[in-house]
Amino acid sequence: MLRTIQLAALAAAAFLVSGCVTAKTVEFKWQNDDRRMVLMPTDIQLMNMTGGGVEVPNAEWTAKAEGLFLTSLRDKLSEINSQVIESDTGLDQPQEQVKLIKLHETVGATIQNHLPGTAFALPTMPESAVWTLGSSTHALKARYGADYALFVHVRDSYTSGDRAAAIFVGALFGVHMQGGTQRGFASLVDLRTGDVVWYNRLLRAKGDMRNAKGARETADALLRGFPG
Amino acid sequence: MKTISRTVMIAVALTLGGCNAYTLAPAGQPLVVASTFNATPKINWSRMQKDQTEVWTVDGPLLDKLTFLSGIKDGASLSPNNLGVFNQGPLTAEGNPPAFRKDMVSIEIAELVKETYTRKGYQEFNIANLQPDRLANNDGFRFDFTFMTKDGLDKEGLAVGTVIDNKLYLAIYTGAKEHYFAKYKDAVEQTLRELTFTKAKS
Amino acid sequence: MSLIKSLPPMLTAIGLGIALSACQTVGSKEAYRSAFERGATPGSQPQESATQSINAYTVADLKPGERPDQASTEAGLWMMMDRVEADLSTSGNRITDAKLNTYVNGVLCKIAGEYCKDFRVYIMRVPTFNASMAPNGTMLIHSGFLLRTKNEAQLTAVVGHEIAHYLRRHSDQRLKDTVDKTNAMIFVQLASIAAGVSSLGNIATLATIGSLQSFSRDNEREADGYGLALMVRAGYDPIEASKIWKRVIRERDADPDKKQPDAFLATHPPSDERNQALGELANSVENANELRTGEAAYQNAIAPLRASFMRDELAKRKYSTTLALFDMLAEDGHNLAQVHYFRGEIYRLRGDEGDLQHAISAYRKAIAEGDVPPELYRSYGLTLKRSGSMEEARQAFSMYLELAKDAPDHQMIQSMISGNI
Repeated sequence: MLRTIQLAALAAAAFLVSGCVTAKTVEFKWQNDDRRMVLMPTDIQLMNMTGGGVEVPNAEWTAKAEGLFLTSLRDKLSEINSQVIESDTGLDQPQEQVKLIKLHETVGATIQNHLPGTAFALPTMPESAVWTLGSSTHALKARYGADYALFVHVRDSYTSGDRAAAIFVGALFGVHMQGGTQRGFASLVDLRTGDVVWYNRLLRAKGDMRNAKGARETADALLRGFPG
Repeated sequence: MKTISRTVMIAVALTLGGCNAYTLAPAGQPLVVASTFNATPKINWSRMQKDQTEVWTVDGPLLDKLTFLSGIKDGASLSPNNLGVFNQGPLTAEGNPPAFRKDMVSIEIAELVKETYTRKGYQEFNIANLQPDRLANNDGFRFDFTFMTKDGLDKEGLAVGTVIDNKLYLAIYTGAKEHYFAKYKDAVEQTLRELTFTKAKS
Repeated sequence: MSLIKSLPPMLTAIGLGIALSACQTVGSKEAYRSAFERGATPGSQPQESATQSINAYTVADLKPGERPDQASTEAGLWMMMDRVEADLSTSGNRITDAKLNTYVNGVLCKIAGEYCKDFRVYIMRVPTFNASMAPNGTMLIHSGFLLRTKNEAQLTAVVGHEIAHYLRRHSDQRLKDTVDKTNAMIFVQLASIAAGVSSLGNIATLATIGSLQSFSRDNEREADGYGLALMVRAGYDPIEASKIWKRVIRERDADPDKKQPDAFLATHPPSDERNQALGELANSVENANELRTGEAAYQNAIAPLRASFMRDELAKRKYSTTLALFDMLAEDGHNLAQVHYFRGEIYRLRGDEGDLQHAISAYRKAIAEGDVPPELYRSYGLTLKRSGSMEEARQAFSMYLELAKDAPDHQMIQSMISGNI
């Protein structure tokens, strides 16, 4: 029994320590020159861990990291000549946007639960397949005048309706954290079709967003393979 | 404290062994579902089966999901879950999940489905159009429903069922209201219409 | 394997558990105290001397906390609560009914006075007796709490208590305490429960987590005292505070399975002690008989949603306590047709030996009260059918169809009437 646990932990550990980053490798080309995209409300949270193993939310770090990360994100996007539009945030968001973000959370969780090549991969969603948010994205396109939207979560904030898969994913997130594990998910959605045309998942045991260099490095990692 | 659950160990073992939880159910190819029904998928589905429960999905169960629950006995609760395990707990014990009773009529079965979902944390569960129907050539019932996840995502569903020999057989299809439910509804309805039992039931 | 040793972090859950805790006191052998020093500053320890005078709790001692400086622990809590609040506002189980929200906010403002604008109330559809306040002024009220409360005064008793926790900044003290001690047991419990917490939106689970993290007895004492003071100042009869606890105790005592009580009740002190102290404090108020209870206003406010609250209560399948609660509501006397209908439902769903007859007689009692919900006739029909009275069942089903023109199951009921029954 202990041996099986160790074996499982080894497998999970190997997955993690390797600095697992999984990206979608489908051919994606920008459809227009200005590459306008709306940046959906980012979800970032940092905490610190005391000697006794207590993790305490750190507002100062989070606020700083949020700022640094967004700056890095915008820098990186402008490097590829993308025009970034800020979305409405917090309680100012219109209902359609809130609903769309909730749908994206579910689609994002689904993508992470069923990554091609993993135990819960779906034969009907191979490497080449595309997940979609449907035509509800047209409202967002109209509102912001952008053809694409970038969603960024640097935290695990996904629904657990699919319990079996979520336990698996959740356990991967859980068996590890020694103060300094990053997990995140970024996706690019084509607002004309609703398709998730690019995504990347970040799960690793290093990275520090509390300074400009670290935040930039995290943004780089999260956007690795972002279509240029 | 459990560091890793059994499910995780199974999943990891599967990964190490190169197995997949889901297999392909190709369009047009008849197969046996939940060890009980003959069914023919009309489109490609991914399927996962454990004994008398089976789940089909295309994009992932959180987005679209067809569940077959077969042979639920008197006293057992429903568990619309990927790896469905029926809870054979005592009938009506305090705090236990609601259970199927062999003399239930369709109204009560619909209530049971509603309660089961509500207990799992789903919100705003509303039933509509409860009416007589047939499943696998047996008299039964069907109903539509809408609900919401805890996080506020709108979902839709339909259920078709029958009781034979004091056992309940149910097919439940759910999907995100936005885009997904409607996308596969016709394919689901077709398959359900053509369902038959592998062994004749009285 | 060092990896196995590290606990799942889920600090979100820990932090939020602290922030969202319902007010409970840690079980202890200490004698119940209701003392504190006049003019005590936030965070200080109260004096040992006991007082039964409500005059000890001056409103002048209550100062709202300003938005804390970002480097502090408290700031961390605020930040997390702000996020939770954004999730709460779009959560699937938030009750957005405008009239009810306006009413509850109105009562809150009566109690909170000048601090009213510091708070935002979220009424959540959760069938437990729970109300809690986060350090950033987010107040959570469960529908189960509204169901069990009888009048405005009882509502203000709990709301006032929560406001006091906020104004005295008890949450921040607790987080510091928790961080200082390394109580592995608590975190193990939290972590395993937290495994079910996937997002900040999982409010019901967070409330459960919160119940494992309690305020100290001193904090509870302060909150009770200040809460009463706020009540009286706003014109409410303080004796109602001990009355709401009596109702809670009565429901708890009906639970045969005392090994697994409600999460909220589990960490409660012997409420009888608290009851007594609250009673004494209330008795120290002069001219209390001139103060009001606000029963009519309260019952009017919850009337439109009470049926849904009662239906959610049924879904818990805790038959004994639910029956005790419904019996109490019958004694209260408001909308008896509705109460007897739901009493019938609980018997119908439990289905033990003899319950079928209890259900049928409860439905009949409801009908005698007049103005029953149409669904009663469907349930009445189902129970009559089960008891073998087919003709009566058919009549009940017909009545249902007549009263519920757009019934979601009219086709099935029609089919049962015509043939299959």
